[in-house]
Amino acid sequence: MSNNSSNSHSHFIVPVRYYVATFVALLVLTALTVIVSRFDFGVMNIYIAMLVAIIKASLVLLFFMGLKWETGFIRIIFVFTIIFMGIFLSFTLSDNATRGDVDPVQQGVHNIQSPVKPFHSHEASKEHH
Amino acid sequence: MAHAPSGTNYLNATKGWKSWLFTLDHKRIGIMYLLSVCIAFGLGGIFALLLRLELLHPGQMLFTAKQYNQLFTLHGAVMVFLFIIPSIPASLGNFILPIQLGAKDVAFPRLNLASLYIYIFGASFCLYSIFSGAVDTGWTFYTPYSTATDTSVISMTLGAFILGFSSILTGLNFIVTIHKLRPKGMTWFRMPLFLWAMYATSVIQVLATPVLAITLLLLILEKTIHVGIFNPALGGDPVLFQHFFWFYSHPAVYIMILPAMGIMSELVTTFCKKNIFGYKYVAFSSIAIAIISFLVWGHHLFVSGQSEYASMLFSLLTFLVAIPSAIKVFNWLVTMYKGSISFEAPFLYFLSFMFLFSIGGFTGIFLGTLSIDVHLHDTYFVVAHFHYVMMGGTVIAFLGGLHYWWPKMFGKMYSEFWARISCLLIFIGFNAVFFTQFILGAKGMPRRYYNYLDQFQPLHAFSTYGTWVLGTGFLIMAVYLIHSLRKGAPAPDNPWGGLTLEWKTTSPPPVENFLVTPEITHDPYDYERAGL
Amino acid sequence: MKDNIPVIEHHVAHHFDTAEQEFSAAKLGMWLFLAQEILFFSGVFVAYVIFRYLYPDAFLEGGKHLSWQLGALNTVFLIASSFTMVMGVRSAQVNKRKASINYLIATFMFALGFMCVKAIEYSQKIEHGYLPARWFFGEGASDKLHIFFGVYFAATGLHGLHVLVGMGLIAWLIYRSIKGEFHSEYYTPLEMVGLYWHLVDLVWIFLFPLLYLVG
Repeated sequence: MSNNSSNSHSHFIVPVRYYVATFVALLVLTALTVIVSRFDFGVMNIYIAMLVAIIKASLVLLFFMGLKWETGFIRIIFVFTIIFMGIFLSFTLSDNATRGDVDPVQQGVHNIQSPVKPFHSHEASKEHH
Repeated sequence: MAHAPSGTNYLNATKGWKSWLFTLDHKRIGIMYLLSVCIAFGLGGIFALLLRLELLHPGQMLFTAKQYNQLFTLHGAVMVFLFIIPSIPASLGNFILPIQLGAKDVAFPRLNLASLYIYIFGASFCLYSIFSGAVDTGWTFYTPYSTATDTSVISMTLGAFILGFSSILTGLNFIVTIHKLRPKGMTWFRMPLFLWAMYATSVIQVLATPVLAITLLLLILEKTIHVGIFNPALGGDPVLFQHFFWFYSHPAVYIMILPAMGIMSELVTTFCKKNIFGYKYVAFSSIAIAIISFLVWGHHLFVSGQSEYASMLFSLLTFLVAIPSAIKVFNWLVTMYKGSISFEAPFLYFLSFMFLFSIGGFTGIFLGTLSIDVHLHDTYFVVAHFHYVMMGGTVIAFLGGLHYWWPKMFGKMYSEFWARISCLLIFIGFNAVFFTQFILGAKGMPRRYYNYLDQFQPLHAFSTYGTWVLGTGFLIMAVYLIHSLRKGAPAPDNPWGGLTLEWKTTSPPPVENFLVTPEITHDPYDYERAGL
Repeated sequence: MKDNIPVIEHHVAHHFDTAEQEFSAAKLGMWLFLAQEILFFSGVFVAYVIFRYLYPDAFLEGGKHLSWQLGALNTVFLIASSFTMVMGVRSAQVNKRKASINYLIATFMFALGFMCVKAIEYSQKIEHGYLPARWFFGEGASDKLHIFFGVYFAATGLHGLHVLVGMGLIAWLIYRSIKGEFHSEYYTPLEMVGLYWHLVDLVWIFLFPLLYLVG
């Protein structure tokens, strides 16, 4: 039996202002990302950059992708996806970060066949664009 | 109960190869998958028979060392990727899930057909790779050998990559079907446990398989453009490859076993005429297994150079994952108590599973124990362990489900006598092959070795003889099952007296699954209320 | 709102009871697909983190070879394209169908802009030899520099492929929109492709600082 689609979409149509505000916020945050990268916070650099990225991502997810108004199960899927990704990353990193802590190992990789040509000139780094 | 006019069912409603190749009917798609995975099983089985033949005596018998490496690699790759991962979900799952749910089809029938096409495409790639320089790396493709070898790693991994998408899309389809196509009255806790198992399996398929995809892709990139992340010669870390690979491949083994456990719940309730003991525990344990399965992959890396702290963490979590499996086994056992038991072939497979899977599960705990694994890793003990769970578990349950639902799918009864003979031969043959290998491994025989010390020869020989008994069992099964399609007695709608929805429709079912949409008013295994 | 676009009615598939059920099934299916896409990309992110941890100098040096200006421009392109995409879906929801088509075209153009910038970047790298190890011939202080570029090309290459696929999908949507298939009663494919497109944007939101703004 085929149902002709009647006006059965009980979807909430998101007001435009949410989209515009999100768009503007994303642009501002992108500028912030770049500005913040100009300063050196040492080891915190990457965490701050990721924090801004997470805020931007959250805006895209919540408003552009509609997670703010979405049913529970879709949110659960998303949360578990992030959790499993986090486990993949953290457990693997924990391996690399703690090797040699119990029994000593010869750390590092030696005599690799690197294709990188060492610099001939005395300039330590060149800016290439 | 309404009957279809003059025997119209999904098998004969439309005719011709196009009506099969372009079908959107989940039942026909399931049958085509069934045929495919059985062929894959046969191929993988032939590789196994050949490699065990080579191992009858130490030294060269029929094959060179490289050919032997290719044999065990192909046995593993074909069995894992072409057979066991899709086996229950794509064949029995596709057929039974919508019917047990009370739905007309899966949520995305065209996607379902696409999954089948993708499977065939991926399988063809893998088969092509066999003839174009068969891989000899082991099905696990560890670097740096897999980046260095000149065998067809790229086409085999591309094949597996493609097969992965078939798996993902099937899982996606099943999750949406169970969420969105449940009819009125079919609440979550009225669903048969097979559906809970399929649901948990599908979650793993969707979330774990993409990591295999990226792993294989990165391996291909490593081989082709020399990325440098897995190859130590370029500064990469081969153990990282193992992390990537097992992040999928461990949850994958639960993709293999969860559907089998689902079948077990169906078999025990039907053949003991009793409600399952602890329905919610069994249901939630499927979900628990799915979640915890993602946390334990490092137990494959205990002796690879993984840090001790990481190894300890993974070992602890590995013990944890055994608990929900154990809960299921105990619940099935208790279900049998004071049941009205009948010993038809499907139930014989249930009993085989209980024995064999328990052994497999226990030995998994041995291997998860760090200190023991140092001795047992990469020995035949591991080979025996995973064959007990994958074959003694999944394959046995698959056979049980196949025999259970065969009358429903084809409308024919097979020979009960020959089915029991076959089950006995398989059980005896299986134990002969693989129990021996526990002993071999504990004595120190390494796995994937072409040659071995003379002292291991008697055990190797015994194991090889076992494969001939096992093979005979399967051969007999093929004969009586195919024979039943032509000459089998017509099957009644409900030959076993089951209470789940598939037994309320005709054998075989009509195209739309039910002539009269059933009303769901009771729990799936309510034998007491049904007065049985 | 009168436009000259025909209205093609949508028929719900036979195995669904209502259009609502069909739409909500499609949405759940799409989110599951996105979940697996996220886990797919997680592989490159894990590789990045591990090797940045192991060889921080190589990554610091590698990042300097990338133009943050071009990266930022690409980020703006994708964010803008996400905005135009979601506006394109919304326009169909309220039957502003010409606007919907225009927004889709804008999305396509931003995506095209992204790919053009990428092509420029890639050609610069090729010219100077900052490539995966197979073709690498550039100079560097760190002997692990090729790993940075291996990860860079793997990550941006896969991402770029997804952009191309997205462009194809958007073009298909433009075609169907012109035919008149989408309106307030049926806009499911628009919303689904929209979700996919936002994911492509999401991946880049993380790739940009990780690759271009190292240190």
